[in-house]
Amino acid sequence: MSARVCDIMHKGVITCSCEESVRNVAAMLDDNQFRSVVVVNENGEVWGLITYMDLLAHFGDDVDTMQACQIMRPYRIEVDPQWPVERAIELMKRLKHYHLIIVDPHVGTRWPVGMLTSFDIVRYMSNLEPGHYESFLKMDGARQGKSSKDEANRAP
Amino acid sequence: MTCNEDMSVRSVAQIMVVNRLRYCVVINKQCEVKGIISADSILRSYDKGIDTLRAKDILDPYSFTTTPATPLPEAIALMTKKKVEHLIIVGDPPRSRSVLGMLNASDIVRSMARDEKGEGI
Repeated sequence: MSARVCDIMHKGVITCSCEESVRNVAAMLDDNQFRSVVVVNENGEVWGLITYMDLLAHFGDDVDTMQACQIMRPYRIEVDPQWPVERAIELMKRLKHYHLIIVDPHVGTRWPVGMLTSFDIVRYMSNLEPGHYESFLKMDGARQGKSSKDEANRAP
Repeated sequence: MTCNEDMSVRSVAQIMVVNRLRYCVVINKQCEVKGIISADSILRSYDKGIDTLRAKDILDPYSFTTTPATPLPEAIALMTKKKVEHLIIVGDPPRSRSVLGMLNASDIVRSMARDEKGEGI
């Protein structure tokens, strides 16, 4: 059975209100090491998306008075967590939209439950299991360590 | 973070995932920069056989020069115009192909969050 979006997506998103200052949005992204923030309305429903590229266009502007809704891109794409990953990839390629907000259709409102980015797809394509990077690195380190030990043994 | 132009796309993806990076600079055997591979370019190669595809097949060619002397607003304008989140910084002279470093969108967002005018980047 092929993987579903909910298997590889990043669970949870960071959100801001429409009135949030752009500087605060930048701080949120920097503090959380995220590349996008979801703009939500007063009911917590998805309204728009702000990514790094949207922020970059306003470098040098007065980011304290500028509000999130002035720089956000309205977001209307519906992605179900139960979709096969291939369907989400096709959508990303077709729309050239590399941040997909995942909305749970059973909640009734458009509440964001996660985010699927191109990096999640790269992780999926790499065939490396999440959480096993450290062992991967250790393996590599051990191999290097072994080779240096072998060299040391060979040395007179 | 660099990779060789003859490396398979899956290996490049693994390098990026293990190092938690969203880009990889592609170099040739002479260590000259050939281009850059981002997470987006790997996504676009999905279902094209990532074990047989090579890094040089999917890279975004290195076509515009940014040096440490390039004014920051000029570099940011270039990033927004070309819609790229990473700029390769090369040494002087301007057409040099020796990589000195990278300018990332995250560096600029950090400076915007901290009320800097680019001094901290």
